[in-house]
Amino acid sequence: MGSGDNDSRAMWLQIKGAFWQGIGAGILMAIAFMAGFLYRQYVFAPPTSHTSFRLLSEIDALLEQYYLYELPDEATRIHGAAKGLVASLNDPYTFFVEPQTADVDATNLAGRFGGIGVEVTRDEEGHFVIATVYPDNPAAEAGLMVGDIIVAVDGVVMDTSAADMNQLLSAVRGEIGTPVTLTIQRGTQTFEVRLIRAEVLIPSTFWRVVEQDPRVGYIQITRFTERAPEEVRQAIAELHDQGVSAYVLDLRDNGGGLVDAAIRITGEFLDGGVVLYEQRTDGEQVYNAPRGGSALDAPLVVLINNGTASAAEIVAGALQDRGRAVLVGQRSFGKGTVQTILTLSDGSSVHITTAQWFTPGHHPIAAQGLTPDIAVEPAQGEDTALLAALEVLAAQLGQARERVHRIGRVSSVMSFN
Amino acid sequence: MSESALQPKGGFRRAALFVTLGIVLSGAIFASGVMTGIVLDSKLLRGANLQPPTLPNIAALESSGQPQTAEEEVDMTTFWEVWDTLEDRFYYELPSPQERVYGAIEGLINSLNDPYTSFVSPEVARILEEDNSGTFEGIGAFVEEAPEGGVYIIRVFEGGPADKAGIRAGDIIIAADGVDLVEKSLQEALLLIRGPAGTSVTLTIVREGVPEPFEVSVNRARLDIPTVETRMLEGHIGYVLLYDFNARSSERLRTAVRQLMDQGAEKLILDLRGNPGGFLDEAVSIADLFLPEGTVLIQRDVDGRTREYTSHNGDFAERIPLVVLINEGSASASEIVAAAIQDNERGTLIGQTSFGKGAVQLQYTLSDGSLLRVTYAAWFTPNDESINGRGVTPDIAVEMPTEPAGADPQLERAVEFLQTGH
Repeated sequence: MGSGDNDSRAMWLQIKGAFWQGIGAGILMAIAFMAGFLYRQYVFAPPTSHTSFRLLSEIDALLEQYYLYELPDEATRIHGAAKGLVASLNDPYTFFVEPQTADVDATNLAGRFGGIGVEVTRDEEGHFVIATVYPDNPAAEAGLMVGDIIVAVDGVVMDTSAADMNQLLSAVRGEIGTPVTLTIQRGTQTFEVRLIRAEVLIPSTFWRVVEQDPRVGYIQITRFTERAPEEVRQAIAELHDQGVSAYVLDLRDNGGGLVDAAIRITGEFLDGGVVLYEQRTDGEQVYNAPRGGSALDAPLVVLINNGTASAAEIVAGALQDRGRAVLVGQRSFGKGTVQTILTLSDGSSVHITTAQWFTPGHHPIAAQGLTPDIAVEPAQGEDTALLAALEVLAAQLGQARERVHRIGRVSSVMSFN
Repeated sequence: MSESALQPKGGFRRAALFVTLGIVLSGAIFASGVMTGIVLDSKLLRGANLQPPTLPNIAALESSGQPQTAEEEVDMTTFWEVWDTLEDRFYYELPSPQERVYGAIEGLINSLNDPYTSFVSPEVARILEEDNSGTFEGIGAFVEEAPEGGVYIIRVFEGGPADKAGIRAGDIIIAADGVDLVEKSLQEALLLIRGPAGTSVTLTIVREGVPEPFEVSVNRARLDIPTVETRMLEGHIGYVLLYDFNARSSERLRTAVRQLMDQGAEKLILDLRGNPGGFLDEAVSIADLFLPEGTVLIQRDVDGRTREYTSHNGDFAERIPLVVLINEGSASASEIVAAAIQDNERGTLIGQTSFGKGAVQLQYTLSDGSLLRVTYAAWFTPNDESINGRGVTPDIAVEMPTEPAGADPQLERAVEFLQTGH
C-alpha cells in the first residue's frame, strides 16, 4: 500500500511535472510564434496602412479584371503609379524617371541646371534668333541651326517686346534630364522640337580688364562646371598680372552647376568660413570655403539677375552675407533646393528635393532669391549693371572722382535697398 | 563512483542537447510565425481582388460575374521604393497618404491612355451622383471650364437663382465666397459654388464690356436639372430636346412625348445635339420608346461575352414619323439611340456626324467613396458596326453655320423633311 502510494504519488508528480513542462514549453512556443509574427510586421509589412494600399491594389485588380483593351504591362502601370505619386507632391523639382531615360542622368547631377547649348541674339523685330549652336549639345543633336527663331518654349510664346532674354532663358533652362519643347520658325516653316536639357559643354569663364577702368578685372562665370574653379584661378592670376586691384564677378544668367565648384570659387574670395548651410529632414550640414584664395582683399562686386540660380546663388549669397561683396543687378532666381537622384531596383530613378540651402546668414535661397544691394534694371544698348558696379568699385578704390563723374549718369537707374 | 562521475557529464550533454533543440525549435516556431504573417498578409492584400465591385450603375454585371483572383501578385517593389524614399527624404511636408495614393491612382490610370477610364475622388463623386439623380442644389446654370480658368456660364436656368441674381450667359465666375476659382478644376469649383438650398454664395464675375470684376450674391435652391425641353412646331410637329441621359431621362422624355402627342403632334423631332450621354439603361429605354421589337445595341465585354439589348412592342411612340438631330457633341448614349433608330430604319438622322464613343464604362464605388470608371465593353449598332472613333453618320448632312446667330438650318431641314417626306 505504502509503496503503491509512493508509486502513484511519484507518477502524479511526474504527470504534474510533465504538465507544467508542457505548459511552459507551450508558452515559450507561443511567445516565439508571436515574436516571429510581430517581427514580420515590422520588417516585411507594406510601408503604409492597409487602407491606402488596398485602394491602389483594389483598382489595379479591377482594371486587370474588367478593362476592355489590353493593359499596359505591369512595369508601365507601376511606373505610372509612381509618377502620379510623385506628381501629388506638387514640387516641380521632384520627379520620377523611367529606366530608359534614367541612364541619361548619370548619377550626381542633382540640383544642377541644364540648357540646350545655343547662344541667342535678337533681331530688329525682337525675335530670338539662334546665333551659335554648340556642337555635341542637345540643340545641335536635334538639328537646330543658326538663324532658327525660337517662337515658343513649352507652348508659351516668347514676348518679343521684352527688353531682355530672361523669359526665354528661364523657360529654356531647367534641371538636367528634363524635357523642353521649342517651337522653331525656320524660313516659312514652323515646327516643334523636343530636347532633353543637358549640361552645356562650353568654357564657362571669360575675363578681361574693364576698358572704362583698367583697375578693375571683369570675370564672367556662365556655369559652375568641373573646370570652372581652375578657370577662375587662372583669370584672377592673369588679371592680377595686368595690374588689376578690384573685381567684378558676373554671375548673371548663371544657372548654377556643381556645388563643389561654387564652394571652391567662393574660396578665392573668402578665406575659409561658412559658404552655405544645407538643411535636410535629418539635420544640417555646413559647407566651408577652402583657405588660401587668391583675391581675398580686392574690392568685389557681384552681378546677379533673375537668371542667376542655384549654385550661382550660393556664391553670391555667401559673398553678400559675409560682407565680402556688393550685389548689383536684379533679384536672383531663387533655386535653393537640392535634389537627390536615387536609382531604384528596376533601374528607374527618382529625383527628390531632399534639402534646402541657406546662406551664411541663414536666409533661404529658395523662392525669394537674393536681393541685390543695388538694384539695377537692364537697358538696351548699355550694360547698366556693369556701369553701376564700376561706380561702386571706383568709390571703394578712391581717388577716382573723374571716372565717377564720367560714368555718373547711371545713378538715374540706381536705387538703393 | 563511476556512475556519479558520469552523471554530471551526461547531464551536461543532455542539457546541451535540450538547449540546442530548444533553440532550433524556437527558431522554427519563430519562422513559422513569420511565414504565417506573410501568408496572412498576402491573403489580405489579395483580398482586395476578391472584394466584389459595388454599385455597377452603368450596366449590370453578369450574374455569373464572380471576380477572379489575379493570377500573379503585382510586383509593387518600385512603387514602394519611391513611397519609402519620399517619406524618408522629401524635404518639404508630404501631402496626406490619401492624397498620395490618389495621385498614384491617377498615374496608374493615365498609363492606360484611355480617356474614358477614370478615377473620381469622393468629393467629385458626390457632384456626379447629384447630377445623375436629376436634381441638385445650386445656382441654376449650365457651365463649363473657361479656357483661361474660372467657370464659364453657358446658359442660366430661366427663373433660377442665377437668373434672378442677374448672371448671364458668357459671364465667367472667377471666385466663390472669396475663394479663387481660376486655378481650380471645374469639379472643385462646382463644390464651392453648389451648396444646400436656402444658403447664399457670393460670386465674383468677369463680364465682357465691364472693366472690373464685380460681386453678386446668389441664393441657392434645389433645382431639377433640365432634362427635356419641348415645343410644338407648325404642321403638328412636336420637338423634344434631350439634354442628357440621367437616371430620370427616359421617364421625363416619355412624359414629354406623351404630352406633345396629346396636344396633337403627328410627327416628332428628337434633338440629341450636344447631348454627351449618360446611363446605358436610359438609352435603351428611350430607344425602346420609339422602336418596336428589335435590337438596340450589341455589347461585347472584356471576357468576350456578347449581350444584346432589345426593344419591345407596345409603346405609344413606335409609329410616329421621327427625325433625330445629331452633331459632333452627341456622344455615347446619344449615339446608341441614334444608331438604333437608323439601323432599324425607324427614323431619319439629320445634322452632323456624331462624336464616336463606342465604349461602355462600369462604375465602381470604392471603399472610401471614390469612383472608378473602367472601359469594360464595346458596343456595336444593331447592324453590328462599331462607331468608335467614327461616329454615327447622319442620313442627311447639314452643317451648322456660326452666322447668323439663332439660325438653325438643321432644325429647318428636319421640319422640311417631315413635311415633304424628303
